[in-house]
Amino acid sequence: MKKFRSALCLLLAVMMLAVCFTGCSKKTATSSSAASASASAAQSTSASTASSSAASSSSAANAQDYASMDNVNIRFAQFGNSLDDADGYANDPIRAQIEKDLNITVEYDTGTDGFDDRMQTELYTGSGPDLFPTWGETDKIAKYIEDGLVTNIGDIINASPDRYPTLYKIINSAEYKAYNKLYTGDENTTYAIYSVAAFAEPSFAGVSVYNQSILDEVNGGKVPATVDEFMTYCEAAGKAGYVGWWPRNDKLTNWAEIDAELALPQGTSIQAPSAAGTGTVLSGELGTDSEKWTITATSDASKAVVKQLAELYKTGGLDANIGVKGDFDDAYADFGAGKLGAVNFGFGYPGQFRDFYNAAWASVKTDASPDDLTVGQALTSDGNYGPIYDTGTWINSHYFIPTSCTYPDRVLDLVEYIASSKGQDLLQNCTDGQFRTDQGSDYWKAIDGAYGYGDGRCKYCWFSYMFSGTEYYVDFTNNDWWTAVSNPTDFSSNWATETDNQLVQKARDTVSAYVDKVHIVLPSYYNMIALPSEATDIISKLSDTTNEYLAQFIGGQLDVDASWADYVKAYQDAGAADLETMINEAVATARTNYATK
Amino acid sequence: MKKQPKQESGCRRSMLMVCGFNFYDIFVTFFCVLFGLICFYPLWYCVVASVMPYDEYIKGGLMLWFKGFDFQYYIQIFHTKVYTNSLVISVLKTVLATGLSLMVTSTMAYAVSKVHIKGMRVINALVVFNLFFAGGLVPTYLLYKGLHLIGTFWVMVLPGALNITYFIIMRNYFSFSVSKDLEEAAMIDGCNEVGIFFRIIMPLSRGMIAAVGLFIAVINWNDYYSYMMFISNKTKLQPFSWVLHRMLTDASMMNQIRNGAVNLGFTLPPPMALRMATIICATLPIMIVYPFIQPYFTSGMTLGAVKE
Repeated sequence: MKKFRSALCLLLAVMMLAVCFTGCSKKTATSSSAASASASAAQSTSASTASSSAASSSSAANAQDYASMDNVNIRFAQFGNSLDDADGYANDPIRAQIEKDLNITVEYDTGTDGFDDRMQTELYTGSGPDLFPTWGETDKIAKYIEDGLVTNIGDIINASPDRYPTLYKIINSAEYKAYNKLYTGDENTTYAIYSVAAFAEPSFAGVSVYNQSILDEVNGGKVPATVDEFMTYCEAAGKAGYVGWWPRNDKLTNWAEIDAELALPQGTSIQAPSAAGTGTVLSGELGTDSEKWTITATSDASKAVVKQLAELYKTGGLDANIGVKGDFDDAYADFGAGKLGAVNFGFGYPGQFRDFYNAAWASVKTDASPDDLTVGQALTSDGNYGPIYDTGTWINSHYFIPTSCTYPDRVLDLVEYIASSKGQDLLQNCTDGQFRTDQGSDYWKAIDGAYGYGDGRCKYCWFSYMFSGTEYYVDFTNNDWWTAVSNPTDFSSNWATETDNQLVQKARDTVSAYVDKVHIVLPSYYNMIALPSEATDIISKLSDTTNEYLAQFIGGQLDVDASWADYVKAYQDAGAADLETMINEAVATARTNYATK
Repeated sequence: MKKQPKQESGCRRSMLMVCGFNFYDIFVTFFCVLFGLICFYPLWYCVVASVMPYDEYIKGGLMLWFKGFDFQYYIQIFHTKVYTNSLVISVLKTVLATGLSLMVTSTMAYAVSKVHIKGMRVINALVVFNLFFAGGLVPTYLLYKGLHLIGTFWVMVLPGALNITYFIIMRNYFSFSVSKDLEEAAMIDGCNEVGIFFRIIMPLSRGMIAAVGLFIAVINWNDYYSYMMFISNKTKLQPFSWVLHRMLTDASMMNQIRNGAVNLGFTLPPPMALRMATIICATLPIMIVYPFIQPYFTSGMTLGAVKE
């Protein structure tokens, strides 16, 4: 027995030693360009195989003669859709059209919880979908390339420009190459399709929607226009037995709406900083050496805002279930039941008001009318609006083809098709970019039932944010890549009902009165900002600190005056000053490298 | 001088004992009742909220007792194909996985309990080794892929066939709690090892098997990870626990059920009430099983508690 135990111990020790040295044989890349180079080397075999395959397919099949190519099964993954309706899936006319046009079989894959983990596991085990997205994380693309997991699609596309004319045009544009450089260190190396989000109309957060009858009852029907008026309204609603305001703060982690509604007009930001314009306040002039972003979460002005919130909470002006409400549905239900006076749901663009009205109000009120709800105004304080900064465009996701895919050329046929006018027309119910009115609702019913979000964003939710992160029509035929993705076309009003159009117009009219004063467009080089990896840890710590302290300050568990110093210290200890430096340095670097491009 | 307080104290204690008054008992009783209520109320809330009429539910507040009965959420649930289908999958998965796990684990535990047979200690060590050192997700995925289990119903059943925790419990039970004399007597009467296991050992181990079976059944009933990681896009195979999970986290799932309710002629149901009804539906089947194995369960839980 003793001998056996000794042998077992020895075996275990040897195994542990072997495990310890498993990673030693592989040299770690020291820079992104080195990573790119090694990845290129690792990819060379598969890429050249794919390229030759693409080229041979191209010549043999005369570029677009898909009928003569082998029918392959392409698994396409997209986050957040549903496959519950088997009949809808089987009778999906758009999928059928794509399959017929390309001589392929399309298999859809989706999920929410665990989706990203599963995608990654499948990728690392050589079982990944043939086309799958990530959330556009810089470190992920670098890691995938370094590990030789994703296909260099640039090599395949550039080898067959006749076969992939739209993609060839896209990946060889100056802006696309700039993103290549940002992600891979080499502007001529393309591993991903970059999905860019851009709203068709200016967008910003921090505007409430009001229940008009409560507004009439407690505020004489007057829509609050200043922070003070808003506070007065919320408190009056609380005293009248309603809940004044639910600021879309689910699970006490989303401070953006509170920030935009109350803090920014007062010249500060209470949310945890994560980037230029998020939890940071600008001084100096944009686009010049004088621009500087300052973290203000622990400033005196932020302290005053937190005190306002705590007071509001005490008087019933702020939803007592703040942080308890699990998701938007519960707040929708409360609003529909007439309990909430004002709700923030990110009414940054008019379509969101329409969606909110339909989901929270019309669905539970048989006699609902658009006049029942009022879109609020962006609030002012001392005559100042709270500026909302964004570039108007941002990278939404990256789509990859794994190296385990044996026919990347055929997958790129699909991507080329989706990028083409024909593909965009098919997905968006258009002919040459013009909305079709001859399709009956029955045609769409199956798709809406099976896959549509049902909130009016798009008709067909597969491939919907492959190029446009906001799921709109993009015209690559008449535009270069950047122009197309940053100026998408929203067709939603074309197939909307009369009431829906009325709702959108109502919101558009209200928003247009102040949008130019609130929404400040950042120079495009802000899209190219890359924070160092150490920033991630600091941001995470600061976010935890904000969630912990602000929740207790507002809920009354901590006295703001007595414990504010602890909050400030926690911020300092977490590295807020370092993060501020990193953000400003990253902005300066991006300005230097990309400002003129 | 020092004895005086002791006498007074002793006197007070004896008087309290005479009166049947005991602070300790009161504290223990109070604590247990309070703890019981804390544990019970969430479940009770689920029950009350799930049958609360819509008009009463939206008033909100603390729900301690029924203010009417309305089974609309349950009707909605059972009119949704995803729910009924997933219930069938869950029942099937639980029954098969539990049966298989009991069979594989108990037979292996019995065999390994025979330490006099050469090699059994090594097998035992190899099995227990896996309790402490798992392969990790990627090797596990590769293994399942190699076995062609990925994307099939069987990936939710087969991998749990040998439950190592209960293997250890069973092995110890067979080693120390079953009389060797009975086995020898059966052998003298002409019974072979297989016969001894099924005719002598298993009937004697009913309590233990019932307790372990219940635990394994609960594990399988609640498991959705295997679906989430290894099947995922085949919605016909989703277990009920996964549907419940989606109800709590996935807005599209909730909307599907709520829109279905409107099609059935109901007012759009509050999401939380639907969740409560779903939780009850997920809990009830496994709770129903419990009373049937209660007699065995109690004795099984106390197995090995007394050493002779």
